[in-house]
Amino acid sequence: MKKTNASLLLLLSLSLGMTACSSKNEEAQPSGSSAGTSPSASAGASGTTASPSADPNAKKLDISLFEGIWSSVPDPGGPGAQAINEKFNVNYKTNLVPMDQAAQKLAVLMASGDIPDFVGLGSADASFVKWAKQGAFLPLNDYIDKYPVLKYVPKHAWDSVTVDGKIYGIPRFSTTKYRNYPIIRKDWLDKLGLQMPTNYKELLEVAKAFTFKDPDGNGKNDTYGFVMANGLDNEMAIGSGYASDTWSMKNDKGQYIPGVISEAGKERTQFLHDAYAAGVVQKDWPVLTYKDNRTMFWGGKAGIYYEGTPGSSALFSQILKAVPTAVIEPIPPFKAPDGSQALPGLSGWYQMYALNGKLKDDPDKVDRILSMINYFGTFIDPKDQNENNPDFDWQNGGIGKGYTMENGVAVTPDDDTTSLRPKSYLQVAPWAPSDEALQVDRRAANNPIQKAYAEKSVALWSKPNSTYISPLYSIHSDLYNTKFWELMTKLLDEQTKMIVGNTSMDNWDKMVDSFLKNGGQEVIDDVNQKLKEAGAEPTYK
Amino acid sequence: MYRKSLGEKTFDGSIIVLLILTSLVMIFPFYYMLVISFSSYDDYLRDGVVLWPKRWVLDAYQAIFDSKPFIRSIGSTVFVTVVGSLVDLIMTSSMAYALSRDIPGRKFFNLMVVFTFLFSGGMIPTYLIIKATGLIDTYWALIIPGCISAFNLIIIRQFFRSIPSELNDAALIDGASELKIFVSIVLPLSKPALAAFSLFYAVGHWNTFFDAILYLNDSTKWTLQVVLRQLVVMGDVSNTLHQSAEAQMAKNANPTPPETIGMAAVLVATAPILLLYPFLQKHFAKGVMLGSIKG
Repeated sequence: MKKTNASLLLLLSLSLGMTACSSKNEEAQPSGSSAGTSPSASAGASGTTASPSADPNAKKLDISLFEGIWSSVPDPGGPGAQAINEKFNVNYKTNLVPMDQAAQKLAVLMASGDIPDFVGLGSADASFVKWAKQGAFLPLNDYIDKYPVLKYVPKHAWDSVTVDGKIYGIPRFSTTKYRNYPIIRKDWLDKLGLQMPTNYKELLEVAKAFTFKDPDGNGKNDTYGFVMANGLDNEMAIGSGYASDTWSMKNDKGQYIPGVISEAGKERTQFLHDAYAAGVVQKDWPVLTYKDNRTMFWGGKAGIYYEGTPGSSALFSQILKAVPTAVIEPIPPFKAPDGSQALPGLSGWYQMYALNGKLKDDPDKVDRILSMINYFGTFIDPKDQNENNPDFDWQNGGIGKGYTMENGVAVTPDDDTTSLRPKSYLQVAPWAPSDEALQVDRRAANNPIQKAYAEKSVALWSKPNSTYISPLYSIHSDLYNTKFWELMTKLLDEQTKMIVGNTSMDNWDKMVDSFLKNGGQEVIDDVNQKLKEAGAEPTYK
Repeated sequence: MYRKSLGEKTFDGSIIVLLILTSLVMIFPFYYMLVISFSSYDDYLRDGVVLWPKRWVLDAYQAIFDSKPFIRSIGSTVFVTVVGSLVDLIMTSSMAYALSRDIPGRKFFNLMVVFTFLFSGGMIPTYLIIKATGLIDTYWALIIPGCISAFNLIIIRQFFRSIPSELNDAALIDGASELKIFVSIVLPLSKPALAAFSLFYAVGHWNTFFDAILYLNDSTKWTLQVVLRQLVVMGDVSNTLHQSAEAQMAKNANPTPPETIGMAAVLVATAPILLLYPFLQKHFAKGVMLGSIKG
């Protein structure tokens, strides 16, 4: 009996001690592509003008990066990564994950102390501040002056990544202009003999005509005035004054309040309510996603939606196929109750890199990382973005391999060629001297519909004082970053109910009161106090 | 001959109609995916596709089978599913067998199992263990941590207990060791149970998603579901989740591939596991009844 017990115990311990059979296999093999020629070497070596680090004597360093990215994930050992290894004399290990899973994995990495040499972060949110305070990141104040590209970073961006007087992040460029903004099918307007709308009353009439007067001329009643999706995506804010995240209207106490509870917000919600009742938007929009909307608009079945500038070439090629005669234009902003008639601007930066706090004793590595960021962040004039510019050619994996030129524009498909382009592995948006310097309409050259749209849109954005810059971009309010968005979700729910007619528009004041009582007033107080301290006001650029 | 009354006929008829409707509701999504995946994207955009494609084309399938990451991820998933299910079965059944017999400390071990049934270590401690054991970036990180499911273990243990102890005694008298009894007598008698649980485990491994993102830093090792998600829903994050305007711009600039490709990818990813069900159906039905009568 003893013997059987012993062998049973053995079975048990075998299964309990399962971790014993840990791995010996699966060494990180830099996939088959490693044998391929790296497109970089020659071009990279000759075109290092912008890279201060290309010191041939430098020691080979291991550098690791974790980041969430929107595009498809390149193979960690792909030719693009190897080109970086050669150019910067590093052993570059990237750990890139799809954006929507990044925050969770980063939290685990940070909590477990398994922090790469540098990490990409979405924004200076509460987690960033917490980690910076705990010493997880390296203060960068003493380093940043050495890298020319960082001189373009505006002060308010540095302020945003500063915690207790120390800079913990390298902000990355984003435009101030060219934000997603309502667009309209101008060819439909022309066909139905309508003028471009200038207020919500006219907009409603246009939307009705788009829905019921068969603008696409197929004899079927299958079009909509505009499309929306859950979470009030496409809130139809024609002009910054009407947008829910605009802080430009004041309450009785002289405090700035968010657009979502302002009179302008009410006017817009009333319009959406009337439009819904008139049947010019899909009945089931609260359960649709923005992807459904895209299919509708870019398939030529809806008249109004939104898009950035120059817009996604994939989407414009959809409509070019579906409706080759389409004309798309931005809707010029309406005059809002706050007196403005402006387009909604962006903060001018998006995402950042933070370095591992442990690197404070390793200045070589810090320098190498910042040099890489500096190199990839260096702006190349759009007219030089072709195969004749060695840096551009190298960053994009070489002409005919990583990219092709069409009508003077480089085309980089989001497919297997991603791994050929070094810039896929360090997606720093170059710091442009100005939004205009980007010449974004050049990127639309391959599609006549997109080209016409981009030119029209750039012209609209280029008018002086046409872009509203939120004062909130210059302050950092924890309360706003956390509490406001929680309350915002409730507000959007309430407004959705009003729009679809589940509750009456008369409940607007009740909704605002409940928002203020449940913490909204505290957020407004905090934001206004910080605005006062910073001397920030809404500005128009 | 028994004739059904009118009432009975209507009753039967309405049940049949109800069942047909219910099955249609379940089949339609699959049918819809199938139809879309075989449509051309232009047709889908222009007219929408509901019941029958205008033209049957293989564009979408061509696109996904031309995609290296997709093919590679199928390989990863098949490996994890086959090896994982095997390891799971060996581990679970051997432990279940040990716990089904009278061994010293059985109660204690049972309690430990039930404890993990109710409480788990959480994501970060689990990550630390996986890191400390050197499993990061290996497929074993997807296999070993979950290789014994407490729930399955308890059910299999009950099944083993239901095997008459006389068999065991007879084998002992014939000089068989416990290992011999386990391998030659108990396991063959438990085939239906093992089939059912291999299906449970296989489905679990086939659907590996977040573990792969968390434990595999090398994206060339990612499983099918990770790649599939990128094809179908990446960037589809609802706007009610606080997203800055800049993030929305970035999201828009990277649209997911056309719906036709997404649907084709979903079908390709679902088909193998879907086809497995009918063949394991009979074991499956038997399996879920296990331990339901005798304690």
